[in-house]
Amino acid sequence: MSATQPTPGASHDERGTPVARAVPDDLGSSTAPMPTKHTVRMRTNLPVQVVRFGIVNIKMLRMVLKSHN
Amino acid sequence: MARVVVLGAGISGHTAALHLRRMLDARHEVVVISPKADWNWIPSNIWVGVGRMTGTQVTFPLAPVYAKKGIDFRQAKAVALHPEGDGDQTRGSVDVVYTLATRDGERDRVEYDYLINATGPKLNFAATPGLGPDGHTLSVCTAEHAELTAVAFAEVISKLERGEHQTLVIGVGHGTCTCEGAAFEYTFNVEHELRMRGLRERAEIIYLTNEYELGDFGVGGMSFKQNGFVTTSQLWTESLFKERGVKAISRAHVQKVEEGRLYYETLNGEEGTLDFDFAMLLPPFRGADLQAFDRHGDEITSDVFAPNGFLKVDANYTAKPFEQWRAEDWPRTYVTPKYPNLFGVGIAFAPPHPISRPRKSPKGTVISPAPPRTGMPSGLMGRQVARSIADMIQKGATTPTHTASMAEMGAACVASAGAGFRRGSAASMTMFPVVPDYVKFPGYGRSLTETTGEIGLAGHWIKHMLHVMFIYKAKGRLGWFLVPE
Repeated sequence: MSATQPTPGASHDERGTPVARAVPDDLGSSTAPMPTKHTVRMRTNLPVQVVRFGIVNIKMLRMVLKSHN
Repeated sequence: MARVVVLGAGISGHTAALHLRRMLDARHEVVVISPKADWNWIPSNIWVGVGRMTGTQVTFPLAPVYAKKGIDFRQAKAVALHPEGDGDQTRGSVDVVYTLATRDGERDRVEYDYLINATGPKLNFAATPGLGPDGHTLSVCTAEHAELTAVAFAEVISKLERGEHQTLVIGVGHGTCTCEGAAFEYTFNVEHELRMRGLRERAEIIYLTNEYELGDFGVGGMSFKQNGFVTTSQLWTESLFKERGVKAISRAHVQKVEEGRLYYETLNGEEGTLDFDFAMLLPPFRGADLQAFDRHGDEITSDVFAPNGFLKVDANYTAKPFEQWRAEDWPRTYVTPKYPNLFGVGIAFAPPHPISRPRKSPKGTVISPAPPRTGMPSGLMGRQVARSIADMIQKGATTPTHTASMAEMGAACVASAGAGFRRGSAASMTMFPVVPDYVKFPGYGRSLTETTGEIGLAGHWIKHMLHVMFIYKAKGRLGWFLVPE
C-alpha cells in the first residue's frame, strides 16, 4: 500500500512529511446505494439503451432549446 | 466598415467568430487572433489520454477553415490591450506576438472596433511545484498533453501485464481547480480500460479532489428526482465509486509533487503524502497574461482584469458571503463596464464568485472548486455576444441586445465513464440553471424537472455523437449553424 491518509499526530518520514497508515476512502462507510446486478446489466442492455438514447436526447434538446431562448 | 477582433479560437471564441462572419456582410472584417494553429474538441481529450483516440481525431487546423469563411486568422498571442487607443490613435487596439513559424516572435498591433476576449485559461501548473508535464504529473488539458498521458498509461498497462502493482492518482492538482468533471471522466475511463483488459485487480485507482463532497463538480452538486424521491449527485457519484472500487480523497489541496510522490493538505488542516506510479492531475486556471493600458500609456490592468487575470464584465463583483450570493450577480451581456465595445466570454470572463460554497483550511488555504464555464455555456456566450455585436454594427444598437447568463441557462453534460460502442457508459446530465437560483427554485436552487441524470451505454453513444457533431460544426460545414451550441 503506497498511499497514506492524514491522521492527527502521525509520525514523520525521512523527508519530514507527516505519514500515517490509513488509506484513501474506499467509501465503505458511504450510505450511497450499490446498484443491483439487474441495474448494472440494464445499463448496457441494447434495447433498453436504444430507448434511453432517444429519451436522453429529447431531454437534452429541450434543455438546449430552453437555454437558447 | 467595422472590424471585430476575437482573441482565442476555443469553443467560445471560434463560435463567436463563425457566427459573426455569418451575420456580418463582407464589408466588415472578422479577425481571429490565437496562438494555436489547431482547434481542439477538448471533451474528447480524455479518450486520447487512454489511447482510444489520437490527437488528430480531436483537432483540426484552423487556417483552412478561416480562409474558406473569409475570416482573417493571425496565429499570434495577444499581450497587451489598449481599449482607449494609444496617443492620437483613438481606436482600440491589441498588441500581439506571432507564434506562426514564419513570423515567430514578430510583434504587431491590431486595431479594432469591437473586441471579444475569449482567450480561455492559462494552465497554471506553476501554482503547485512539480505539477504538470514539465514536472511529475500528466494532464489531458490539451491534445498534446493527452497524447503524452496515453504513452504513460500504455506503460502502466505493460507493467500490470507483467504482474506488477500500480497506483494511479487522478484528479486535481490544486485547491482552487475547476473541471472536476474531466478528472471524473478520466478516472472512470482508466478504470474501464483496465477492467476490460482484466488488469483491474492489480491497480489501485485514487481520485484526488478539492470538492467538499464527491459529485460537487464545481456547481455545488445537483439534486435529482428519482423514483419518487429527491436524491443528490453526491449519493449518485459515491455509488459509482463504490461499484467500480475507486478510492477517493476529497477536500484536498496538493501542495507539491515530487517524482512518484505528492504532498497534500485537507480542509481540516491535516497533511499527508501519496505515492504514485501514474498521476494525471488537472491544473488550476488563471487568465491569459494580458496587460491593459490607457490612452496615455499608463497601466490599467487591475481596472480591466480581476486579480486572477480574467476580464471583468457586467457582473456584480462586490465581495459578500455565500449566503448573500444571488443569481443576478452573474453577467448577462459580457460587456465590460467601462468599454462598450469590449467583451469577455467563456473561461476568459471573471466570474463574480464561485458556485460551490467557498472553504478554507485552518492554514488559510482555499480548498473549493472554481466555477466551470466550459462547453455549452461557453458556446452560448460566444453566440449571444456575436449577435449583440452584429446588432450594434448593423442596426446601430448602443447596448448589447442579447444575453446569456449562466443563472438563466441550463447545461447538458455527458461525462464518459468508459469508451466502447457495446460496453461503454457515460453519465448523461442536464441541469437548469447552471448557477442555482434559490429565489426562483426554493430549496434546491434548480428545477427538479429539468435537472436529470442517468448512467448507461446510451450516454456513451451521445458523447460520441457530440464529438462528431461539434467537430462538423466547428469546421463550418454545410448547415453548421443549425447545430446548437
